[in-house]
Amino acid sequence: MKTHWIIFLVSFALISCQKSEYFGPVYHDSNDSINIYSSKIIIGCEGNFQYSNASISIIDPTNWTSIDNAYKAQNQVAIGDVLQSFYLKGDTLVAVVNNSHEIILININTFEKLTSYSNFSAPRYVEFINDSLICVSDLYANFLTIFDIKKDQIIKQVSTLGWTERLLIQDSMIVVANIDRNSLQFIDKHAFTLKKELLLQHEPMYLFKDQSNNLLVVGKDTNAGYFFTLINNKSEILNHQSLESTISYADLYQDNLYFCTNKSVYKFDYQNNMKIKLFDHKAITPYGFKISNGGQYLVLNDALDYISRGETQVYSFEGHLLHTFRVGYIPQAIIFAF
Amino acid sequence: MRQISFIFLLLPLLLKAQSDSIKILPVFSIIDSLKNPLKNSFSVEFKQKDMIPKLNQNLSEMLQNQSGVAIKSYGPGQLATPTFRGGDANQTIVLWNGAKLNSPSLGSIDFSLIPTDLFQDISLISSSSSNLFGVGGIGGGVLLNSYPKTDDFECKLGLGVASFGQNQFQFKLNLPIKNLLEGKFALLFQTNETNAENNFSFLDIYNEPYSLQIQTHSRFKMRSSQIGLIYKFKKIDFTLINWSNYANRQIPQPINLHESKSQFQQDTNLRSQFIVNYNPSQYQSFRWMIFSDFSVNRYQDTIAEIDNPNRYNNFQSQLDWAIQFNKARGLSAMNQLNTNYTQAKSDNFNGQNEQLGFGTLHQLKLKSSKARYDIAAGMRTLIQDSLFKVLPFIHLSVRSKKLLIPEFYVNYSKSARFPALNELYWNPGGNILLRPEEALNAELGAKTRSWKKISFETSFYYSIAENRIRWIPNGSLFSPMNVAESKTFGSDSKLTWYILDQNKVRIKLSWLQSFVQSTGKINQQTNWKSLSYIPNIKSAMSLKADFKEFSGFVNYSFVSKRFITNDESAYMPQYHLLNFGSIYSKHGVTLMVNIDNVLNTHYQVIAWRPMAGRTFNFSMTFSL
Repeated sequence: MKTHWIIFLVSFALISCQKSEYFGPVYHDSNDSINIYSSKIIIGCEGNFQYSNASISIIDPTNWTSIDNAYKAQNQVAIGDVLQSFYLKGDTLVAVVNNSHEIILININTFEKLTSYSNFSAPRYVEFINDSLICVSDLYANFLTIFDIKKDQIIKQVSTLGWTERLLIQDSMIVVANIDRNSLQFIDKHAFTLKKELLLQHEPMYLFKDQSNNLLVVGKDTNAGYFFTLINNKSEILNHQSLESTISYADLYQDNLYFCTNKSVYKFDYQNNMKIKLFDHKAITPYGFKISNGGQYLVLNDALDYISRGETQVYSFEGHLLHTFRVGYIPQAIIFAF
Repeated sequence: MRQISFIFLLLPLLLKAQSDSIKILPVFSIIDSLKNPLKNSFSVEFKQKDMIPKLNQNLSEMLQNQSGVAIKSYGPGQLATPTFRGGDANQTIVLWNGAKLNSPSLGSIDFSLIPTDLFQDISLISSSSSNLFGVGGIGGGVLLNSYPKTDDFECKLGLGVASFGQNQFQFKLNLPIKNLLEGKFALLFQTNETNAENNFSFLDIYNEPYSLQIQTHSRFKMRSSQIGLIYKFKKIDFTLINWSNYANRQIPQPINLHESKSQFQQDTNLRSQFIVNYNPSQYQSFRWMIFSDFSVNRYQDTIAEIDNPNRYNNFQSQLDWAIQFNKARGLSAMNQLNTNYTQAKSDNFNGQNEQLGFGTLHQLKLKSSKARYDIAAGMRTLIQDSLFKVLPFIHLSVRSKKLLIPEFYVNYSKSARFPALNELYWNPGGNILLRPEEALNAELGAKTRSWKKISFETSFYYSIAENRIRWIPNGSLFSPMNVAESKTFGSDSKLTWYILDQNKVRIKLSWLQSFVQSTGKINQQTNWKSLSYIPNIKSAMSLKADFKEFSGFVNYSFVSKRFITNDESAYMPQYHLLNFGSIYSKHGVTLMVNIDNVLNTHYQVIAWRPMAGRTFNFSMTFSL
C-alpha cells in the first residue's frame, strides 16, 4: 500500500509537466513551398469572425490552377481575423484585416509581408491619396483616418459621425460612404476637413467612379429594395433607379454596372437605362463579384454556408461556368494582378 | 496518452468520484410516476448527496466532469451550453420543477449560471422522453428540482477559496415546522455567491514561440438565492419558491486577437413558482403550477458603442391531472393543460414583442399485473404564433423475471422546437415566416438490474431532424431560415459498480459515455457532413472511496475531436481531464481539498478560448 502511494506521488510529479504541443484549431495544411504566379487573380477570404482563419488564395489565369493560403505559406502565420478588402498599388498589395485592427502591406510578387500598421479600430477600406498617404474607413471609430505609411503615423482623424465603408478619390475630394447616415461625405484631400455631405435615399453600400468622373452608388433602401444613384462631380444627382429587391454584389466595368443577385447576373447600362439579365449563376451564396481586366470573364465568389470553405467561379459573359476553385472561408475581395 | 495509461494502472487506488444513480425517483404522486422517464428511455439522475461537494459548482462543470454530455464553454465564468445527441444549445430544454427556463428570446440557457447546489436532484433526459416534459427538447433536457422538505432539518454554511482569485460562500437552511395549523410546514433559504478573477495562466499558441500568458478581463461574479415555503395538509400541499440570480462578467477577447477590455455582460433572473399538489385518493392526483420569470440580459461593448439590455417577462401555467383506472391492470392516464406568455423587449426588436402559446399533454399507460411490461402512448400539442404541432410518442419496456436478463425498452417520438423571439423579430434580419424545427426519434435500450452490485444500461438511438434554423446570408443581411437537416445516430451507456460496500468502507465506480455521429446539410446542394462542435465521443468516469470520516475521488473525462466547420475542413483536437479530491467530515465539519485538471492540460473547447490549467480548491462547510 505504501509502495503504491510512493509510485503514485512520483508519477504525479513526473506527469505534471505539460508538453507545449499545439492544441488549437487545426486547418487543412498549407503548401510547404509555393511559386507565386506572375499573373494572378487574388481572392481575399474573410474567414470566420474571431477565428483568425482569413486567407488569400491566388489563381493563375493562364493555366487555371490555384494556390490556397498563399500568405500563410510564405510567412508561416495566418494573415489575421476578417480580411475585409484589398488595394493594389504598384507591387504592393494592401490588405485590410478588419478584426485584427491592422493593415498589412504585402509584396505582390513573393507574397511576403513587407510591414503592417496596427493603429486602427476596425478598418474597412483604404484609398491612396498619394504615394505615402492613405485614408482608412472604419466600422466603429466614427472617423476617417489619414495615415502616413512611410512614417507609420496617423496624420489626422476626420470625424464622420458613423460607420464608413467604401471610399474613392474624385478630383480634390475623398468621397466616403457613410452607412449609418445614408450619405456620401466629401473630405478635402489636402486639408483633411469635411467639406460637405450628400444625403441619399438608400445605403451607399457600393461606390464607383465612371470614366466621366461621375459617382455611382448602389445600396438598399429599407423595405424597398436596391437602388442606383448617379452623381456628377458637382454633387448633382443625375439618375436614380430601382434595380432589384436584393443584390449580393456589384461592379462597374466600362460604364456598365454589373451586379449579381442570389440567382442571376445582370448588366445595367445606366446611360440608356437598360437592364438585362446575362445568365443564371451556380453560386449558393454569392459574396464577391468582379469583371476581369479586359472584360474576358466574370469572377464570382461563393461563400456557401459561411462555415465551409468557399468557391471561386469563373464565368464567360454568356454564362458558361469555365472554372471552379475551392478557396478559403468566405471569399469576398477580388483583385486582378496582370 | 501514455499519461492516461499510467493512471489506469493505478486504478485500484482509493479515490473518490461522482454522482450517478439509477435509483428510481421517489414517487410523490401518480403524476410523477407517469412522467418518470427512467423506465422507458435513457436518462441519468444526480442526487445532491451523491454529487461532489464542491462549493458552488455550476451545471456546465458538473456535466463536463460527470456525464456523457458535451459542453461548449468559452472559458471559466463565460458562456457554456450543452449539446445533447447532436442537438443545438437551443434544442435542450431546461425545466425547474416543471417550468421551462430556456430564454424565449434565444431558445437556450447559459449553463454556467445554474449552480447545482440549489437543487436536490438533477436529471438528464433524452429526446425520446422530452415530450413528457415540454416542447423543444430535440436533443434532450435537464430537469432541476428544488423544494423545501418537511422532514429534514438542514443548516449549512460553506466557505471556499480556489486558484485564480476565486472565493465562494454558501448558506442553506431548511427548517421544517410540524403541527402548524394541523399540517407540516417548511421554510427553505439557500444562497451562494461566487467571485472569481479567473486570472489563470494559459499557453498562448497563437504566437510563436509559445509563451505562458495570464488571462485578463475575465472577472465573474454571481449570486444565486432561493427562498421557499411549503405547507402540507392532509392530501394537499402548497409550495411557493422564489429563485433570484445575478451575474456580472467581463468578457475577454480570444487569444488570437488584440487584448480588449471593452465587453461586459450582466444577467438578472427573478423567478417565482407557486405549486399545488392535490391527491384526493391513491388513484388520482392533481398538480397546478404557475411560474413567472423576469429576465434582463445586458451586453455592453464600449468600443462598438453597444449597450443593449434584452428583457423578457415570461409567465407559465400548467395543470396536470392523473388517474389510475384499474390497479390490477395498471391502466392510468395523465393530462395537462398549459399556457405560456412572453413579453420581450430589446433594442433590436421593433418595439416590444409578445408570444402566447397553449398546449396539452395526453398519455395513457398500461402496466402489466406482474410488471413484466409497460407501454405508454400519448401526444403533446402546442399552438403558438399561429403555428400548431402535434407531437406523438410511444414507449414500451419489457422485463423478465430472471435477474440476469436485462430489461429492454423501445420508444419512438416526434419532437419540435418553435422559433425563438430573436429568430422571428430581430431587426435587421428576423424572419416571421419561420416554421418549427422537427425531429423524429427512435431509441432501443437495455438495462440490467443490479447483479453483484453492478448495473449497466445502454441505449441506441437514431434521429432525423429537418427545418433546422440557421442564420444565413439573405442579401446583405443574415436571416434565420429553415434550411438545414440532420441525421444523428449514437449510443449512451452508463455503468455503476459498487466495488466494495461494507460498513466502514465503500468504493464505487461510475462511468458514462456518449457516442454520437451527427451529420447535416445546409441545403439540397451541399453534401452530408459532420455537424460542428459535436464530439463523436464524450466519456466521464469516477472512482469514489469512503472510509470512516475520509473520502477520496478521482474524475476522468475525455472529449474527442470536434469539427468546427460544416465541411470537415477544420477541427479542434481531443482533450482529457483529470480531477482529484479528498474530503474529511466529522462532527458537522467538512473539509475538502480538490484539484481540477491535475495534469495541467492545456486545452480549448472553443477555438482560441483558453481554459484554466491546474486549479486548487479548498472549502470548509459547517453543518448543524
